[in-house]
Amino acid sequence: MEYRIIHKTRYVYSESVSLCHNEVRLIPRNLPFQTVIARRVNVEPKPSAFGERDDFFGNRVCYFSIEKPHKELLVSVTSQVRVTPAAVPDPELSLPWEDAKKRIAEDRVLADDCQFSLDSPLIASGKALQDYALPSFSPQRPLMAAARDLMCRIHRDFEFRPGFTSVSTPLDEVLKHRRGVCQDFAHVAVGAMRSMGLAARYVSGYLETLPPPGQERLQGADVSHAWFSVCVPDYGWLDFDPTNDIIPGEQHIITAWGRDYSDVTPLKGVIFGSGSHNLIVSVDVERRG
Amino acid sequence: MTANAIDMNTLPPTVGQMCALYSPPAGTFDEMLAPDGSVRPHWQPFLDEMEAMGCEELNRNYQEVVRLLRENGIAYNIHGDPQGVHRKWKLDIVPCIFSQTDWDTVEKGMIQRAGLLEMMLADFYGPRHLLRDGLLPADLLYRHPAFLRPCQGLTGHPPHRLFMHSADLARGPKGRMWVLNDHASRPNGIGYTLENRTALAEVMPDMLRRCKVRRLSDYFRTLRAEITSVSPRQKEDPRIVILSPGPGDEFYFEHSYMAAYLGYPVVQGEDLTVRDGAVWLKSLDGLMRVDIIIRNTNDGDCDPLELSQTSRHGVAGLLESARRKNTVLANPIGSSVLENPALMAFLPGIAQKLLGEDLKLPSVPTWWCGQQEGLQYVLENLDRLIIKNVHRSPQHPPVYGSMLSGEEKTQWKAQIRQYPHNYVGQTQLCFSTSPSLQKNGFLPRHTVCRLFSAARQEGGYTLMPGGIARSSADKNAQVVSNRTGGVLKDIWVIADRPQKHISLWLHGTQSDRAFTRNSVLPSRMAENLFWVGRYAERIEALARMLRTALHVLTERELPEDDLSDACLFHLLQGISRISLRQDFKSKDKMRAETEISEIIQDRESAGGIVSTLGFFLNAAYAVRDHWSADTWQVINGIEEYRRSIHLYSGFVPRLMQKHLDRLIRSLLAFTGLCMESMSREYGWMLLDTGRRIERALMFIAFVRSNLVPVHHYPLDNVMMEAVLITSENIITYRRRYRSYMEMVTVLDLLLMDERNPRSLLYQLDRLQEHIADLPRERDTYRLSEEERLMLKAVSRLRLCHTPHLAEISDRSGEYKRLDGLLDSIRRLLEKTSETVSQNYFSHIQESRLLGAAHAEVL
Repeated sequence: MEYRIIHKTRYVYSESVSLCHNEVRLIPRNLPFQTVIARRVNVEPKPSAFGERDDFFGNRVCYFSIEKPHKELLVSVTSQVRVTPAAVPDPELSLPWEDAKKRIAEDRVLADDCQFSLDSPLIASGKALQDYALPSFSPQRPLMAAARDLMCRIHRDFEFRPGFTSVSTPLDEVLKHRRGVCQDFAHVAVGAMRSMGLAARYVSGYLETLPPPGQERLQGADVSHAWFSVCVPDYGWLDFDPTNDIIPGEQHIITAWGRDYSDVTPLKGVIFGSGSHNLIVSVDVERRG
Repeated sequence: MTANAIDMNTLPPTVGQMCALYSPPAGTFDEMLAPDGSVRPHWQPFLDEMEAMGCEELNRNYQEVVRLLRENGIAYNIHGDPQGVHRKWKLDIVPCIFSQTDWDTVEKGMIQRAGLLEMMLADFYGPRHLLRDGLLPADLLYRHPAFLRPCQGLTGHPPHRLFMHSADLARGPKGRMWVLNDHASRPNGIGYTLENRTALAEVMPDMLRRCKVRRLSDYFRTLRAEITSVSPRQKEDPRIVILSPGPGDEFYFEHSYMAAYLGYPVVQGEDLTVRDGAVWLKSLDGLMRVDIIIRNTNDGDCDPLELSQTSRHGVAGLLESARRKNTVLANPIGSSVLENPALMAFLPGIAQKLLGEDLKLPSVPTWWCGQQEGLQYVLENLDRLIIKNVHRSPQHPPVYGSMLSGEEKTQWKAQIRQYPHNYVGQTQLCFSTSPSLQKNGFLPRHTVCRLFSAARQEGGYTLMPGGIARSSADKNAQVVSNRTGGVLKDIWVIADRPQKHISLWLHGTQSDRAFTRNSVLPSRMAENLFWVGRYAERIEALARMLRTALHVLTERELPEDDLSDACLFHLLQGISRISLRQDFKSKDKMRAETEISEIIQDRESAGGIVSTLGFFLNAAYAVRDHWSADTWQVINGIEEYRRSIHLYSGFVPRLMQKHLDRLIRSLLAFTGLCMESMSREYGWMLLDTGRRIERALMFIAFVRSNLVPVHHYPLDNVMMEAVLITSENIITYRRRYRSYMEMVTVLDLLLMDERNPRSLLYQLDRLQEHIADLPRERDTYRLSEEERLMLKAVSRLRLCHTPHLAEISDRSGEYKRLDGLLDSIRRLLEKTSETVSQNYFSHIQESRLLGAAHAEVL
């Protein structure tokens, strides 16, 4: 499956901004089952400095600075990505979660994955998360089956409610009120996995949305998406989308992963100038055959 | 404030007698005495010198060292010290002495250790083989808050070397040296070491020479050569700055001391900006490219774009500029991950793996609770261990198991069990003792040494042949810390042969000289200098006015002296307004006395003497590398005055007058030193600009409140005299006009005399000159805004006709024309001050963070 993704972010400032430094994590990753055929990053006004690199987690990052006064900033990233379906193993055949836990803590081969079992800036695992996780982790249950069950339960237990949470809402609040958006569900899942001593990471990307039957697809009405991924020793990482209760396949496009949202913030920056700002984001994911 | 000096008049007359009380505790290694009580050979020359010096000279030298350090204003800002920042610490005149043979072992170990840590740093932010090879538990690294993921690939190899490493060491009971802590982020302590040695070398040069004490200057030469050699842009003329969190930082003194010694400007985060992927210094001349940053800010606070977003000390884009190799940071950001004490438990294995060697200098035995065996050991042996948090910070001081009560022990065990990976246990060593000079002679004190290594250009490291030692406050205390009242000692390494005298001054290369000639003035420094000038002048003016008021009060001839009273109340009305207090309307003498003492002593009074002195000292402290030693002594004197100002109670006019005299003299000394010992660079110009603006403004305010109202004879004469006295013009006036007091002649002298440094015109003329000399683009014939304002002010004053000003034009009871003129000049001056601030200091802009919020959801 091939997609063209256009992600536009526009900041409008009330007062002129004299200088800004920014980091963008919006270019999809190249992976065995996902190939980036073409991509273009366009920034207006024209940046004084621009650079690309891979970050600690292997995500593609663009850095840019604008050094003349401006009242508007536009970042648009266009990418063309081919996604090939990966065979999903039978969840019931994976190793018991207790074994996975032991391997992650002790197996040197998994040294790098071990960091995803630890607390991170936005996710502190604790008793509440563990209490929530426990029903999915019956003794000797295969790891993938347990993770899939956790995904189903989050889908069932949590209400999708845009506007109820923000980036700074603590995980405890989300857990208490059982509502939020994809980002919150991914954080809950990651935290629940970690509270069991397992390694899980936060994945950000896109999801192709199809219009209701009989209606036309709206341009720019899509949004970015987030889900979680679980480290399965001897297999690798397997993704789960608790918002839609599916194991991601051809319709999910991965841009970045990290310990939590703070590692993969799509666009962040430091700006110099007073006043307030307005943010407008539009995303368009279009199937190209 | 603790008294800095110990009274040494009680010292016994001979060294033998001074040693009489010296008995090291049993089971402790003593640096000076062998177990059989004989003096270790490398201490003998020092004791001989002491003997030769005699008790009296020793005492004199000691007092001299104390004086030198005090006058240098050694400040050690203690965290959470409500008294503020300027607590002084003690330097012991008795050094901690090492023999060359003993030192060789330490040196080899320290050099090996620095090299090893550098390799580990490269691995941590690179391939992380150490984790996969099982030499270090993965979560020990990944969990640590000082492991900064954005530094991946950026740290530990050229040009981002570990330039400086320092460690705390102590000797155990069997004479072996152990490493207690590693410091890899900020080079704390180097400045104090340099300062201590400079003081001792100045007071006792012969002693150091005859004892063959190894010199420190080579170390600084190496450090400078290595840092200069990695310059990314121009090897010949790199621009180097010292980055500091600012005057609020515990170690700010060191930053400015090092800055002055090495000849680099000390800057703060907001002085720097990243443009085009490189770092630039905001200076009075505009932006100047920076190549190398000697960093004294915490790792996580360095870059709000990629690291902690809450830091005020950072520079957005700094990591990117390092990544592009446009800037080199010494030490690289991320180095503080090496300070994790848990690493010590794994160093022997890592040394074997990376170097194929054993550690030449052992770390103090350490157990990390993140591993089962470590946790078990620590819980079982808590009594004998020191518990440290893996993240060293003032919020997590070490806990001594031996000092805990039963209940506290239970609490700590629970805490460790709950967060085992946060803690290590370390053996509590019984540190060796060394002699400390106390009032009855030498007494043994437990001692810890801090030693410093620097990277060498050709690879590897060099160890400073010296350092700084800290001694416990009393005989039994095992806790050695400056925060708990320890004493600092210089470390001497005794060479085998006499040491050539090498000045501590570094010999600069041609490029160094070129650099210093165009010395760079950061905008923030410029702003502080401007305010130093303004505040100094404001205090002087206030003090002079108050002195005149006190004079009038004390010189009253009769209890009922209406003339003096009227004069006093006029003066006080003006002074109250100028010091931002409510209008003084009372005619009561008691109220007048209270008013005067409040303006002088009250800490709450925002425009009073105490507050203004505070502003002055803060500004002066922020630019301390601009002051000569003499100037600094005067500033210290002013600070002492401020501290003692509240000590006298009650209204004693003569005493107050005496104190004001002292303050005015100090301020005049300060002004004189600025005039005569500061080069006429931009720094001086701004200082003097601030001074002239303030003198003119204070003068205008004072004249307006005292001379603008029309007084009748004889009050008019008394008022004119008071103004002439206060503005330091009375002598000139008497010489010139004898005793005829006349408004016209008074105004001639006060306003229009361009040769009189206390006249208004003189201030405006100087201002106009300074402003014309400020750096600006000279490609047009147009005047700048501030030049225009000054031209207006000067013309307005020069064009006026004094007899005209002295005419009473209507029945309002005021010299209206005089008032109008002064008011318009005041407005022009205030506008000039604002414009200069905007055009030259306002590079500093507020910054905000953008992070895409929940605009994207599904």
